[in-house]
Amino acid sequence: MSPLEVIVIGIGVVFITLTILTLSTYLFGKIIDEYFVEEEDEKDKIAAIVAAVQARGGR
Amino acid sequence: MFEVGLFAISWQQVAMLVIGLLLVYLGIAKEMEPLLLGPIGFAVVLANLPLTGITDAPSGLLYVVYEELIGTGIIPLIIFLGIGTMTDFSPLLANPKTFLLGAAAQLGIFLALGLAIIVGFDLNAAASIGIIGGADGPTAIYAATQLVGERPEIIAAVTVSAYSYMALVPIIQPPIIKALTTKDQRKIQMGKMRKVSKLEKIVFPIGVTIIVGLIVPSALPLVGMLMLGNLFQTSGVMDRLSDTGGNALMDIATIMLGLGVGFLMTGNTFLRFETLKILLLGVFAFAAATAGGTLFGQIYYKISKGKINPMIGAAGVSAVPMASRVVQKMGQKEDAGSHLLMHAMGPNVAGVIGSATAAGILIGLLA
Repeated sequence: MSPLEVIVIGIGVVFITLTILTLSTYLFGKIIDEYFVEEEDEKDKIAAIVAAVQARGGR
Repeated sequence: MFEVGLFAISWQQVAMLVIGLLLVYLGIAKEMEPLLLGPIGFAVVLANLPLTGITDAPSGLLYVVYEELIGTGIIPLIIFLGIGTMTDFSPLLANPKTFLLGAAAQLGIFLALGLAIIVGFDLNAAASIGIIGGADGPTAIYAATQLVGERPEIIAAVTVSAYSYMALVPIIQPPIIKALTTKDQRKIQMGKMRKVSKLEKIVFPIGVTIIVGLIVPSALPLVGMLMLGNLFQTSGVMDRLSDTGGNALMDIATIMLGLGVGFLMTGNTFLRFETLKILLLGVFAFAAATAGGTLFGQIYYKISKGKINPMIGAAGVSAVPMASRVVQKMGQKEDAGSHLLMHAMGPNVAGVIGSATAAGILIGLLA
């Protein structure tokens, strides 16, 4: 394999791989935001309320 | 038969003792990467005292450490796991397009590879030298051991070069960034980043591992360990593993790395004209990586109609978080209210993945 081939393939594959990672990150981020985050936020809110109530002590 | 070392010492060994002590001095007195330069420098002293047998096969301490732990690539991979536990990918998840800035900064690797060929290195050696442009010590050592495993003189020079230039990021990068950006561009402030959910942070390391593993299988050892460490941290239920990976295990690996690199730095292997050439090519690789990232940042600046500060592209070299700090500092120099640190961290952590991917490609093509 010639040095030029290594350079061209190398740069090409780095860009292709990171482009796929970019698109996948966008896609999964959108899906998670759309379908899962509310639920997670809700859980966090409930956990925060429970923690606050527990911290308040015995009344 | 008993022999006194003093009468057996060569001038090369004396020179290496001076270099070893200089590294210890830089580590302790100047606090330049002390956790690395301290053990490396001391190991250079150990390796160059005559008649000790410490570097001799098959049972000399430094020989065993190098052959079993560094030469096999295990220690750089364990260090990558530790880095994973300490890396926060949130800025990249909040702004995934900065992934490509991490790709652009890898241009330095391939430009340095081409230049190394021109100055007379063979392809495998040139690829090992090019990886210095990835600005990532463990990646550079791992790639060098895989590409030129039988040539310790190249591995030693690549390792010293990679770690030295990482410490010199605040000196090497600013003039290049300054030359490739205008004052007005450096003043640009970037908006607030979106909040990243915990689930995204957990899915990310798993997804990256699978995607990179499918596209560049030879990059998987590096990327896989980085992502495993990150999963320890993001999962929230593996705190003990995250703590061990990022502290005790990382420290053990760093000590072993220092001893192993010291083994490589004996007078015969290090005091060569080739070493000087590799050190100079390393600076070029680093500078070209910074320029590649900044120029790609300029493309983002144009596309975003001036909303993206092109300086963040320079952080695409993977020296985390030094490169981000350079961008933050340069931004604040132009405008005290500028906060570019987190925006630069996106390309910075992308650069870690990018350089590991580039190393994997070169290993896949040439090893």
